[in-house]
Amino acid sequence: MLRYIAKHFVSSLITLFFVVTITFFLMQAAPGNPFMNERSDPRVVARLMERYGYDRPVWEQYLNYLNDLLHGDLGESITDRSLTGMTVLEMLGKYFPNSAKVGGICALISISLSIPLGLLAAVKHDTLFDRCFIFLSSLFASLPNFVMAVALMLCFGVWLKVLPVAYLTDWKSYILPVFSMAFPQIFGLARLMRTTMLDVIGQDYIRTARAKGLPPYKVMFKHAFRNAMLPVVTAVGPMIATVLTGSMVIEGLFAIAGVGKYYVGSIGARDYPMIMGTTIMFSALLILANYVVDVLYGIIDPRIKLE
Amino acid sequence: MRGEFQPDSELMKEYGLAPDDLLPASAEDKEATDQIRPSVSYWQDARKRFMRNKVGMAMLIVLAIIVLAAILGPMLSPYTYQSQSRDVRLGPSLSHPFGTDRLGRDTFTRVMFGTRVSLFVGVATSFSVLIIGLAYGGISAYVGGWADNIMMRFVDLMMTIPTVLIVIILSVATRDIFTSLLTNPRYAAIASMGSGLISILAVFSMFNWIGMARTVRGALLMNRSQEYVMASEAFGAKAGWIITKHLLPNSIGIIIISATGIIPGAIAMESFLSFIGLGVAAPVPSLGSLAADALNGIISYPLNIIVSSGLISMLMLSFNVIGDSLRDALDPRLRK
Repeated sequence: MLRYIAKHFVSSLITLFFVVTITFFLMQAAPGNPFMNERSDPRVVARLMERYGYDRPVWEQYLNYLNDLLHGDLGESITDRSLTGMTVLEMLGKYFPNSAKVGGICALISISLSIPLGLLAAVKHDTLFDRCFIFLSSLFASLPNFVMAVALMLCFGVWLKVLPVAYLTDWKSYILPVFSMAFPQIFGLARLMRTTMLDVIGQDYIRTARAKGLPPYKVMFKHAFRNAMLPVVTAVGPMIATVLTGSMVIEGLFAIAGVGKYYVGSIGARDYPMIMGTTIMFSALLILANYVVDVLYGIIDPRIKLE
Repeated sequence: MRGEFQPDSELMKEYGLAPDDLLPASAEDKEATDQIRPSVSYWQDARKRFMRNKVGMAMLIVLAIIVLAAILGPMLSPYTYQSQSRDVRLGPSLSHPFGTDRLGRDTFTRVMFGTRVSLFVGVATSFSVLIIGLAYGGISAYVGGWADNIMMRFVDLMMTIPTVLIVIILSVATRDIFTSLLTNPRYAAIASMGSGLISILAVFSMFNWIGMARTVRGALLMNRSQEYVMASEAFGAKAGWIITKHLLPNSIGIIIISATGIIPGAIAMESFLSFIGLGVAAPVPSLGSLAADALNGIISYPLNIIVSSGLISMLMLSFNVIGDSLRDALDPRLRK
């Protein structure tokens, strides 16, 4: 087991390194630079590029960046430096809690609502409830994040005027951003839960359990549910990724000062240190989520360990 | 007479059977048994199953209408997607079915052009992914051995990369390269859709083929280990025959299912990128950038955002539902 955990940890680190490298070179290859501006004097731009070391060969910059990174230095944000004087690390530290709160609540709500919903749909297989559920889940799977957010905003914020549509202030202000990300997740996960549950219910050992006279709830929870959970656990990793992508849209729409919003902004502004910083944080988060899922899966499913 | 059935008279007596009871079957009788179930080919069966699914059929019609409107709309419309006028933020009327936006541009034309962009991204990504996936998965499955091992290791590595982050930055980084490639007048039709679109297409294909390659390889290997393929090989069938006559036809269902699954994913990704302003570049409209643009007047003039986001949702819904009912129709494991 320890070897399994260690092996996956090393490969996660390698992936992270890959992502950092790819992003670094792609970012440099993207047209434009952090100081591009229609009015700026080319001589000034050249001086600035020199000041930040962007005039040196890309390889040298890359090695310098890696060196700084290993010393825990992510550099300074170029666009925000003059305004706030914060380093990238400080900015991430300031914005990440906002993103984490919204994303975390969203993930919690999605997981805790989807599992019972999926189970219910599986138990009530082929009833009206199940059909409505299938329809709703295809509908919500088809609504892009921003459509969901705008629809909720229009309904509850603009027309009914019951919920705030911007900033994170009191608990009420979390409802719209969280649910515009959570709705598709809830139905997506619940649908997966339903499918795997139906799969498991069709297995022979369930029939055996029924045949030996166990009460239905015991068959459902002790025999079927545990095994049906396996694929659902794997889906949690990609779910974190979707929540992350969602944050880029949702934070912009609801004016939440989170990492997703600043990531989008920094790409537009070619704010190199900020792009790298957010990318490292996001990918570390995603890779960590996948790593945890891998390890959990190894623990839950004994068959994996044998390989 | 040779070949004619000669009942054993001793046995018949033992079981109390008259000679009439054991007559050879007439041609009519044989035909009747043969035709209890007329032979139905895989595709006929799949079509029947698909047509039986009412929601799927309804969505197919919706999709057909959207596709037709997207192709014909901008052609028939007297406006172009960038022609501005003083008629700012008009309501729906005969000359502007969906009204106009804040620069007096006809929303119908813009939205239909955006739908074109979405459809193009979806279908073209799915097509190129199909080709790359078939080639990669096919080679990997057929060559096998260490080549298969290395190729699949590479796929595993690609799987762990957080696609979203790379896709965002890659589509920004490659935009200029594709713009310069597209200055060739031969590609004017593609260039009119915007160079950002092509880089998005290339980037999506770069990351989506992985799943497809896995599916293809899995399906081919599964069929390859079947007895009927072994029998065919034993009869001396060549590789080309086995691939085209056995492996591909038997894997095609699952390959089509995954290819259709790519379309809504690519459409969603493109609209997401365009919505956050990193996708198709202005002035070319995309459903995502139209929705982002319409946010400006969301309270005073919600029509724009309702039209663009409604259309993208309809598009995604129809592709998702059609994909689902295709899966039900084509997946051999579900066949009864």
